[in-house]
Amino acid sequence: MQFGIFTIADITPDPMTGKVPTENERLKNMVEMGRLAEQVGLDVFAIGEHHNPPFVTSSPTTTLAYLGAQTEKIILSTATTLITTNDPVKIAEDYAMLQHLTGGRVDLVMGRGNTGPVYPWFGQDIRKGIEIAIENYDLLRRLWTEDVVNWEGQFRTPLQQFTSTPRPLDGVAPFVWHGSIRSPQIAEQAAYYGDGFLHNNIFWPMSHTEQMVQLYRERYEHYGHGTARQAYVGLGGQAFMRKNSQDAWNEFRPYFDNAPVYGGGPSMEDFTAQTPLTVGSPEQVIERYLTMADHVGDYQRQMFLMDHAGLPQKTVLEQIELLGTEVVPVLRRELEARKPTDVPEAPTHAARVAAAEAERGAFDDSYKFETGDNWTGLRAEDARR
Amino acid sequence: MTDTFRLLALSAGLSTPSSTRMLADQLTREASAALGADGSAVEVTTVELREYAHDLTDALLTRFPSERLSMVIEQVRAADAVVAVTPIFNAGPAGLFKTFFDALDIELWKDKPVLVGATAGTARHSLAIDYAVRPMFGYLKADLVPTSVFAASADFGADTEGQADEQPLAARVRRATGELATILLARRGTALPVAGAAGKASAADGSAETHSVEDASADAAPARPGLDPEFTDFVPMGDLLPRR
Repeated sequence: MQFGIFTIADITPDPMTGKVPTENERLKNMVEMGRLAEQVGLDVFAIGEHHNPPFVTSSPTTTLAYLGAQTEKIILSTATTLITTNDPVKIAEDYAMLQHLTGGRVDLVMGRGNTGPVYPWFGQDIRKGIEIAIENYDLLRRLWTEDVVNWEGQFRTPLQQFTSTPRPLDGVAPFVWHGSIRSPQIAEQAAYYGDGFLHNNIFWPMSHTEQMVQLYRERYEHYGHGTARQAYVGLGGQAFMRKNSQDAWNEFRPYFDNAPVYGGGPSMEDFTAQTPLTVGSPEQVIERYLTMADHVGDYQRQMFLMDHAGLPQKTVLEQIELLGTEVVPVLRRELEARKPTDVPEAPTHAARVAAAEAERGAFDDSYKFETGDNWTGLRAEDARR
Repeated sequence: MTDTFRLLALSAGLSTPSSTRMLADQLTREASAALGADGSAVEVTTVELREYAHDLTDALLTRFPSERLSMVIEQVRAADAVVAVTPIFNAGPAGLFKTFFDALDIELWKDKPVLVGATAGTARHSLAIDYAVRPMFGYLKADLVPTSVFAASADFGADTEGQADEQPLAARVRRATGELATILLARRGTALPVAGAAGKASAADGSAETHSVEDASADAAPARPGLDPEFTDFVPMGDLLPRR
């Protein structure tokens, strides 16, 4: 099982001090969070992608590559990659690059994005959000699995004899999760391809989450990738911890009350009862997150949001340390102990390479395209001849 | 099909006691009497929306209903008819009333018989029902009772003709609840014994409606046990991807 943290890289004033981090501070802080996550034994660090204020993470692969250069083991992931407004050709190239540079420590969570206005900024139409997600992802897979692609669709120009470079590391594309909170179509999409399904349930009651996951698992089995319980499931999570439970409640309450999304709405008492948000001691967080598998089945990835609502960086780092040193070791031990042997481990590049080699033999990484000239494509004058 | 009619009254009055609640009670009492005249049993539940004011605001912000609010939603789903009564503030329904409908799934209201009532200080606000309340139920595709009931403060003290209005409140309540009873009995295939020609025509329409509703709900029934209908709303991937 994999445990990690994700950040949406929001710029939110600290309600206690009114201090607003600069874009530069927030970016540097995120990278520091990623380094600490690795040091305290977490498996995954993921960042969101947004193209509007108050967020600073418009270029995830830049950030992840920079962090990748400063870490050894941690998997670099997204939360989420906008499969709708990014050109699938660029996603294929960027994340294959990242794979090579980080030794395969890459996977992605695909999402449609929840900000309507972003679509026209990238030449797309939000009314077609689902259709774009379906078409773009189908093309993305082909770009990673086929060396030369001929393709025609509705939402971008056709491709003829196109090769996305570099080819995926070891001939194995990054593992893909599909993230969706409310759209059964995306659960269906994930199941169809045998990909993972990540339900970021941090703002949702378990009664909702368990039904979305159940749908995905049933469809995964329907498409013949394995039994329902062998499907790849990830969940979101949210916690604020102090040794003493009451200290956690007192310290976190002003952040909760002013947080984007739920601030000004439900009380922290109600919200912690209704959603996975857990405020208290590390033991209470452990107790709560040990129950998630009772609802969604044994699952492969548990992500936590630790840095939102304007929490100061010092506090965020303390939270990551508590998560990595006190909470995750117990969760890992207990959840792995209860996992039946036929439920797969969380996906890693090494395991996927081994599986691919078992199927098709060793991967030949010798360069397989034309070399030796500086030909960069047809020029208009060449085409006239 | 149960024999008991379940009436759910929603009162958006903000004070206790409120004239809005008084009108809601009067409407459910008369509706029970109209249905009871036919020998039907009636079960009335009345919900004061003010008790759910926080839950409703929370639901708008979090986009999921609290457990308390979910129980009201289930009551709406199970009700044979809803009596919805709101004060008129600033020429429209109370914000609390609108919030309730904004926070709930619109599918809940499709084909649901709804009797609308409204209250205000004076009769000069009475048309607010027609321009600001009924259009919402049209959008929600509810089965609106033709007569809505408006009660000004003066109506509650004026039971005899001519004292407050040309039609005393009691008479208008009787007419509206009689129409509601006609709709509900027609849906069960029993026309009111006193119903005139118009009543019969609406009874015929009503039973045709009943059939289509039953067919629709059979289609919408979750294909997978344990999953709510919203989780079965997808197109199989094979139908979405071009053949290669």
